[in-house]
This record gives sequence, C-alpha cells and structure tokens, in this order.
Amino acid sequence: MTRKRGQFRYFPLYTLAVVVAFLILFPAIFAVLTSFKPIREIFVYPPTMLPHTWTVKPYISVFSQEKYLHYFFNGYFISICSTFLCVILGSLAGYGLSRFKLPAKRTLMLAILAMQMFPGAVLMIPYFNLSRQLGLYNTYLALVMIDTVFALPLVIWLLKSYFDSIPVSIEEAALIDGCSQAKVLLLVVAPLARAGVIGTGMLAFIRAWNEFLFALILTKGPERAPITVGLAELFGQYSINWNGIMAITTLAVLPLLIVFIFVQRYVISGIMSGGVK
Amino acid sequence: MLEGYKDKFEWRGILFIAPAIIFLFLVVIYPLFKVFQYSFQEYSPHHSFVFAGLKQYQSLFSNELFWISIKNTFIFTIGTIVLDLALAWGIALLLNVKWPNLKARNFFRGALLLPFLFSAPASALLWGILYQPLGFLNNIIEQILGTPINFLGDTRYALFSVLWVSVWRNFPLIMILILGGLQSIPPNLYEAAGIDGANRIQRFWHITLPQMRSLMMTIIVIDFATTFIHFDLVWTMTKGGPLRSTYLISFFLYQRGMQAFKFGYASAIGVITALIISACVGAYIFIYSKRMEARA
Repeated sequence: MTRKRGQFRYFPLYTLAVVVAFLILFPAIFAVLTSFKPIREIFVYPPTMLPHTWTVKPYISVFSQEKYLHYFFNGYFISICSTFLCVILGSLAGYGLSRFKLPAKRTLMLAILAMQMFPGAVLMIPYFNLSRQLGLYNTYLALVMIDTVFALPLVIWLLKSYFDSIPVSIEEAALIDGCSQAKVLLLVVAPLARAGVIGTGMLAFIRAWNEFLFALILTKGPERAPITVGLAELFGQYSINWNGIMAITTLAVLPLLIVFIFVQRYVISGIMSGGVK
Repeated sequence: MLEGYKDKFEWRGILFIAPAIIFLFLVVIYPLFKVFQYSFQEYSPHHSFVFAGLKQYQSLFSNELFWISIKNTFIFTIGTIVLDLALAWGIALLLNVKWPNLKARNFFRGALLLPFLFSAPASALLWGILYQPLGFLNNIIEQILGTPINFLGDTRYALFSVLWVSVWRNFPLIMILILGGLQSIPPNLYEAAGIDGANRIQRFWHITLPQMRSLMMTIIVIDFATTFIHFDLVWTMTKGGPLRSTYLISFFLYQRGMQAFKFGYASAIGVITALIISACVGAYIFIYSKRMEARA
C-alpha cells in the first residue's frame, strides 16, 4: 500500500521528464520517421508524423550513391586518426603535467585552458593559404591535424585531472619492484587510466566527426571531404527528397549514438569532473 | 616520497609534454602570427602579399556590412547564452531532484544529451524540415495564429530561427556541467540551512547560486567565445540572408576570404574578432573578480 503511494508521488516528475525529453528530441524523432516514408507521403499537407507505409528505399538509395560512401569513409578515417593522435599526445602531456615538476606549470595550464576556447575560425585564411603552400590542400592530413589541435587542449586538461586522481604510490611500488619507467606506463598506468581515456577519446571523436568549417574550406569535392560537408550541401534541396536526406542524416548520427550509449558514463563523468575543477 | 618521485624525473616531464606543446605551437600559434601579418598586407594573385599598413582596417571600419555583422553577432551570441543557460538550468534542476529510480534519471540524462551528438549541418537539416513553409511547425502555428511563419525567409525571424538551432545543440553540454556542479555542493550545507528553517527558494538563493558562481563564469566565458565565432549553422541554413539579417562576423570573414579572395581584408576581420572576444572575456572576468573581492 505505502509502496504504491510512493510510486504515485513521483508521477508528475516522470510526466514532466517525458514531456521535456519528447520536446527536445522531437526533431530527431521526426527525422528518423521521415526517413522511412515513401516519397508520396513527403508532400502531404498537413504533414504527418508516422509513415503510412514503411520503406527502406531512402537508405538503399544513399548506399547506391558513390558520393556518400566517400563522405562517410572520409568522415570515419579523419575522425579515427584525429582521435588516436589526440589520445596519444593528450595522455603524454596529461601524464607529464600531473606527475612532474615543470617550470611555469601554472601558466602552462592556464594557457591550455585558454586555448580551449580559442576561436578557430579566425585562422581560416592562414590555414587555407598555408595548406596550399605546403601541398596539404585537399588532404586527410590537414584535416586530421586541425581536428586534433582543437580537441587537444580539452583532452590534456581532462586527462591531467584524471591522472591526478590515480595515486602515485602505485607507480612507485612498481618502480621499486624493478619495473622500468616505460613498463610502469604501459602495464600500470595505462590500464588504470582506461576510463578517462575512453571518455576523452569519445569527446575528441565527436568533435572531429562534427567539424565542418575547415572541412569546407580545405577540401574540394567528395574525394576527401567528410560527411558534414555532404550534409551541408543537401540544405536547400528539400523539395526534392526529404526522406533520402533524413536517411543520410540518421546514418550520420547513428554510429555516434551507438558508441555513445556504451561509453556514456565515461563521457559524462569526464565532462563533469573537468567542469568542477 | 611523493615529492621525491616528482623531483627525480623532472627532465623527463618535459619530454612528456613536448610533443603536444610543439604541435599546438605549430598548428595554432604560427597561423595566429600569420593572420596578424596578413592583416597588414594586400593580397593579389599576381604579386602575392604586399605591405598595406592599416588600409584593411580603415576600409573595414568604414564598411556598413561590418557593423551589421557585429550587431547580429552580439544578438546571436547573447541570445544563445541566455537561452542556453535557461534551458540547461531548468533541465539540470529537474534531473537533480530526488529521483526514485537512478536508472530512470540516467536514462533521461543520456537522452537529453543527444542533441550534442548532432553536427551543425545535421541539426540544420533536422530543423530545416520543421521550419519549412508548409512544414510541421507551421501546421501547428497556422492553427494557433492563423498565418504561417516564414522562419528562414523573413528578416524578422531568420536570426532567431538559426539561434534556436544553436541553443538546441549547445545546451546539453552546459546542462551536464551544471548538473555536475549541483551534485558537488556538499549536502551538509542544505542540512544546516534546513535546520535553520530556510525554505526551498532561500536555500536555492543562498546556497546553490553562490556555490555555482565560478562554474557559471567558466560556462559563460566558454559559451561566449565559441558562439561569437560560430559559422556552421549560418552557412548551412541562410548564407547570411535574407537581406543580411543573419550576417554574422564569421560569415563575413568567410565571404571576404574564401569567396572574394581578399585575404588581407579577411585577416583584418579575424584579428578584430579575436580582439573583441578577448576584450569581452577579459572585461567579464575582471568585473567578476572585482565583485568577488567586494563580497569577500
């Protein structure tokens, strides 16, 4: 009896949460539903929410266009490379900042924090010009480097605070037992830092996967451009095939969503700990 | 013992941080130096860069479009921050009340974080469909107001329509940061206040807000610096139109640099934008710390 009343007490809370979540996620829900509609249901007015007949044709048509396969592949390739680079450089720097006495460490930490909000778009002209001079225009390398550099300050900052939370005494014990410094890093520190690395790596991946401006100005055509560029050029072509466009959009977010569901708690705890500090 | 370990490997510490620092230096600091240099030059395809003194800055300040962009950018930025904070606070407080089931709360927390996963072009497409003249939103609006709204085609609504998409993408991260802040407030502060007979509103006003102050400053500064230079949504959704009503400073920079190939002029826009951001952030932090001192 009391149990039932206890549950009823939280009814307004759940209702409110469901309504808020529905309103916030409505565009995404609508997009997914639209992607399963046949073309004749796209132009009806008033617009409908649910498809009358469900179809996967829009998805098949995406995969039959070579252009989009390029965009998707480029997006994955650039983001994965950039994530690895970020995690490697970031763990090294984060570990160094956490464990060693360094000259001007405070200033360095503040500089890294300030870089986190660096307005990257200001560098549009030099990036464009330098990439042409160095032969990096329309290459993966240019985008990997730029994606890495803008995620790196956050990655360093978060990993530094993560390493801070791992007690030094564990490493010292291993060193006394005769482990080399390299072994300590690989066999003792790396496994302990796994959760932090996964969380920050995911953040770096999301940033790289969603980067648009530099992909736009440093690539030409679908040969090297990632999916964000492919999505942006669809805008304004609505009246042709919404369902196909929504299918591409869904496909562009789905992989991120699937990985995110598994690593959610690492990402959230990473953001939270970084914010509080 | 702890200090001993830290002293012993001091020189190795430099080796650990060097790759990242060198990388940041080459890919950010050097181009930053370049943008300063370009801004005092004139670019032409035949002569490359020639020194031009303050010419670019002079013509920039006398350009009406520059001032329009600045005005739009401030409206866009401040509007985004205000709505971001309102939405993020509201939802963070909802997630921070006592939930009977922690799994349910974590599910909602994850679900509400989803817009953060959408890239700007993807969000532009999602909202673009809803904003259509004969789209879903207009169907509702027509039933309420009688006339549809041309979200992206009307100079009165275009900037706000783009701004709303920016808020939709921005607020989840801020919500998580606020939630983290709320959860790190020591519960004994609330208990003590409860014993003293403080009600909910008093507790919020005298405990929650003061405890959250420095986090709020960080959030506002980061949100300001990133939104002020935001480019992706405007490029995708409106291209500065209709009638320049969504011309933001970043779009102006892109248009002059990447479409008109006026590299010197565009660099001057970049330098001025960076200076405006630094000045606003600096002034905000200065005023904030002065007020904190006055309080202490």
